[in-house]
Amino acid sequence: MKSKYLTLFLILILLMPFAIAMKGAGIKWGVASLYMEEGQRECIDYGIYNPWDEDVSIALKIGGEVVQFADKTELEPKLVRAGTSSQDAIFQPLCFSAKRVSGCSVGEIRNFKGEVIAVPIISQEASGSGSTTATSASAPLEIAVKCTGAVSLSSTTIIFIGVLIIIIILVIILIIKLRKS
Amino acid sequence: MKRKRDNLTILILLLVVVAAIGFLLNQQGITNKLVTVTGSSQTVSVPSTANIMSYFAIAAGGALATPGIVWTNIATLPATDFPADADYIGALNDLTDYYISVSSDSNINVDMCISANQPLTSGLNTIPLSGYGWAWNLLNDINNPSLASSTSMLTMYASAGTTITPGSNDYFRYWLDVPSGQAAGTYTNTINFKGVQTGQPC
Repeated sequence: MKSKYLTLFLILILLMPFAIAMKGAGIKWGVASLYMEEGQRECIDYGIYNPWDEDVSIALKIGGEVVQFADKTELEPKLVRAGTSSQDAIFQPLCFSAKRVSGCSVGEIRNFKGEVIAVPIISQEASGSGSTTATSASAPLEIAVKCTGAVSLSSTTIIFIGVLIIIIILVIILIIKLRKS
Repeated sequence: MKRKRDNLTILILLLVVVAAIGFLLNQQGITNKLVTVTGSSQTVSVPSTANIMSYFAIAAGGALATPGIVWTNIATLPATDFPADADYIGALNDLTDYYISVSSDSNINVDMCISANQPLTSGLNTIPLSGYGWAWNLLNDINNPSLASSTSMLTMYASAGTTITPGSNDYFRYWLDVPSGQAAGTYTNTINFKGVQTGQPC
């Protein structure tokens, strides 16, 4: 009987190094490639989940060539409770606007490769010389842009044109008033 | 007569303002009009309700999670292929405690990628990454991962495990070369692990 307990104790001792709570991140996606035409804007939902032992904040980041089309390259971290399964993944939209592709002729299709990365925010301090570690989970994303020659004015340009028009009108009014006097 | 003309001028100016606002609003919509094939929706939201969903989760396990990859016992220099603290543990000193787990709550196989943010650094002093060796294996025993299959750490991602199935681990060992005359200090950096769908580049 004693030897049984001793064996159990030894097994527990052997397993101890592997019983440390784990922290990490999961990513869930349903779209790996996107077809857009210049000027088009589309949003894709990405799920984050945490099947591990501890609560963790997870941020979604965009990497690779598709970054140039992203409305935001990184979303605010969201707290995901420990034990959140893929079925209960928290979905967040990432939006992409296909800006004009330079050097692309009308009708041509250009492909851009990239990824969406779920990054758990975990603070770790090495207890001596060595390395802290960081993990992340990546979903592939390829965007194919069809060039249409569409002109996409930025909001700054629109404001600039608006201000210019107002200034011209004010100048005309001033000229009329000066002529009157 | 003159007043009438002035009023007419103001009216024309007002029309110009209205036209300008209309023009601006129209410009805002130009891009959408050109790209919307059906001509209705301007921003298309694609909820993840596709029939095929892919998902996986990874986490650092054992000493890789806490405290990280640490060398505490380098007493004499130069040191060559000095194993990290948790390279050989267990009752028989035959197991590594550095591993990345792929959750069983995953529906695809995973490839692992590894990189360093910078050489091990202490103030202005560094230990070059060429002396920071590492190896991976899906087996964990005295021979795997092996020093013979080790390679130097890079600041760009390198493949560090392929076709890791849900519910299994990717094991690592690390070795460090420290040249003679290396200044004393606590040298640190960060090692990044990125899981990608099997077949995707790092």
